[in-house]
Amino acid sequence: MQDLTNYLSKNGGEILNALWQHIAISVVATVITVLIALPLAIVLIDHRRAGEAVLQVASVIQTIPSLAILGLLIPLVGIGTIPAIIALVLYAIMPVFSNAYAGLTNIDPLLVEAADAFGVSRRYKLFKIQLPLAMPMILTGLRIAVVMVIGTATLAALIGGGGLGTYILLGIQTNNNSALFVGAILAAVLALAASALIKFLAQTNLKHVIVGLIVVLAVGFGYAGVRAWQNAQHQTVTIAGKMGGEPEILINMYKELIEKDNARVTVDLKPNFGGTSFLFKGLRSGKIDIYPEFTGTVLQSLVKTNQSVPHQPTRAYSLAKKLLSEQYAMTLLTPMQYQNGYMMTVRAADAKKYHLKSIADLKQVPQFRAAFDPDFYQQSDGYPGLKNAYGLTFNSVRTMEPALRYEALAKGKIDVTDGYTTDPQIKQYHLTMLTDTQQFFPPYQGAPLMNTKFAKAHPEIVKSLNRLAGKVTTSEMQEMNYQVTVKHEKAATVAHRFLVTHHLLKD
Amino acid sequence: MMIQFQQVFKKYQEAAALTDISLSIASHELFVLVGPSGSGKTTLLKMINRLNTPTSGKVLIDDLDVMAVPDVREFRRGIGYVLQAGALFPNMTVAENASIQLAAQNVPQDRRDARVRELLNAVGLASDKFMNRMPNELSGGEAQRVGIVRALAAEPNIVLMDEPFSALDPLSRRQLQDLVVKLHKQFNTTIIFVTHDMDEALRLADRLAVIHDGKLQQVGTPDEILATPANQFVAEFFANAGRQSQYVKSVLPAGFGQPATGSALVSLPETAMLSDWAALLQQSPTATVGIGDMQLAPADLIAYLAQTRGVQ
Repeated sequence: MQDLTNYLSKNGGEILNALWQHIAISVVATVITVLIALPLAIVLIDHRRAGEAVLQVASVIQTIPSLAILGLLIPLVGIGTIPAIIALVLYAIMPVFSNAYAGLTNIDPLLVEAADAFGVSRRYKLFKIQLPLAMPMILTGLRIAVVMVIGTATLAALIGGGGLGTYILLGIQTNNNSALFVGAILAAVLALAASALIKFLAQTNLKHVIVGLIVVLAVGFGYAGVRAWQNAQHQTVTIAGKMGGEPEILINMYKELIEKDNARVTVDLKPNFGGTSFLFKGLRSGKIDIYPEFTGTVLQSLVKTNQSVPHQPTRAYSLAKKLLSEQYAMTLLTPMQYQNGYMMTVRAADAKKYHLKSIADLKQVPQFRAAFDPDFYQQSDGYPGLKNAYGLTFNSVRTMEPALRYEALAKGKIDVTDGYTTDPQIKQYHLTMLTDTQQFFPPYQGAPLMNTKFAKAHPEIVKSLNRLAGKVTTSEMQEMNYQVTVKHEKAATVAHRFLVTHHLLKD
Repeated sequence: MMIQFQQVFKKYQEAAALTDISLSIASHELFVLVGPSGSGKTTLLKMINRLNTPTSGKVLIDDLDVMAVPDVREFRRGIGYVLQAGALFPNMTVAENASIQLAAQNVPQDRRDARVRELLNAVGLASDKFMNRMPNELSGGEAQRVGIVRALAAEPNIVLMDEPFSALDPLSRRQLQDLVVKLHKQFNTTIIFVTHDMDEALRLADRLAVIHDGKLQQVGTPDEILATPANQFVAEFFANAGRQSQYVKSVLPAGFGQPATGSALVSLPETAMLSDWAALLQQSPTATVGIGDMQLAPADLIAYLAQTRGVQ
């Protein structure tokens, strides 16, 4: 509870922003849905077979998992708010359409006949008879859709759409329960409030509801227009980061360096934007301009190569840079110093007791109980390769959920495990990393990745980013991750402090 | 407003709903279409305001083919319609419901209200009390009175009524039937009234048409139809009407009378009642009456009445 109030007071502004963003996405998606589904239902009142067909299609769309829809939309419309809204609209059409259609087609046929017999105009029949009589059903559909949209909109964060989902993702990624609570509870409260609002509107005059809707729309579009105009005055560079605390710290450093050097550039940050392929596709389509990537990831997942990954960091960087340039016309700037690769770790007390400094020293302690991340346990560049390279044998080796292995090690349930070099838990649990003297693990060095076209057009931004080249040691990164992930400090604060301390930025 | 059906056929898929209907309805007539459920009488009614259209044949209003009207909505605004159980729009007040055709004709609000008030009072609903009620606050009888007001509001020359009282209790039904007769006299409109209830048909009709299986069985005044049913079906349909054995004509099938000899006959019309015969005998006790090509002696009346004792 204490954590939650702290978190709220520290991040209040951003949370409110995300809340507004969430509301904006939901309102826009709902309005578009209604503008599509309701006229469609009206047009199809007298075409039952076509109506049934639309209902079938809408139901089929509904069965596609929302994540899959988001994935399908990326190659078509890229990432950000627009695909999120499209996905939400696709989802919400079914409840709105099916309820409106059921309402409009199930009006007592005697009343429809009466309307026809009295010779009322088409418009009178629609607005004074059919819509009012179908209104309870239409509003039921709307309520279902709004609650669903608000819930599903949390997934927008996965493709950089922003909103409350950002906090839910952040909470999961950085093990920050306060963020998770804030995101989940606000989304739930918002859904309940919207549902209650529609219930309230249902009891008021239809005319007032329509006028209200128009006002809301006008204000919304006006606001969007002003924002777009303001943005046009500035040059905006979009920098995204993968899930987790570390990429967020890095992109905050990028932002500060770029904005300090270039007064007319505004950097738009999209932290916790998604996985590697999301970001890479985003970069290729030009939706984002820069994101921090690792040399090892480039060589293993992004470029096509027959060569094995060089174990020497500078050679790995040269190869990654060359292949990115050849295959994707992208530029990978000079990496920072730190490595975020695999490592082996033991408790500091054991390291002292058994004089363990490098991975090779583990040969002397076959009685150690080892536990590894299931992926690491299977991959040839993980435990099987490591075992051969160093000739290791342990009496007990098993796999363990990555999230649990540090705590298990700290509590003495296991004695040795794998991890990443910048994991903050190393500091949190006073663990010792063992040196990879044979350079068995492929190097993972972080550097800004961008399209070459962008790099050529913005040499001043490249220059600003290059000030981080060769900076930030592994322990410094570990320390910053600790401050963000364990101590829940804001990434921007931590990044700023680092830049000032290391004279990369004047305070 | 004379309405004519000329050789009207209606087919649904291949099934015949109406077969060769030719019929004339005179101006200012209260005309009843009667027949069992599914006989086609409602289909025929709806052809008048084009809610239904003939497969072949014509429907004429004052010699004008209804299929040729340029604007069907405009055309319908001039025809009143009363549906089953009122069929009031539940989202509108009594006044809004009743003035729907006036609104469609763009009549100003104050004139609409005045007309609706006048008619509400005429059907026995206090306008001050009922104008702003919602349909769910009305009883069945009240709702149907509003339905009648709605049909009359635009001063139509023709009012169509489709089984309007079938869902009402006998007392309300009786009251509304009397109301229809009263309003028909007051406003002098042509009313075409559909019912499956023969008592209702006989009570209301100036003339009625009996329809069965999509075919016209007989057209005539209630007396004509009761006295001289055209066929077995018509006779059976009205068999329980009660009034039937009161006709002079019904004495013949009971086995009385002889072929007319032509001497000293007092001719009676085919629709003459037994009371007419009795009145005649009171004045000339030995008179032999002729009906059709048969003759009846005074003793036949006494014998017939003695025979029907206990039947009624």
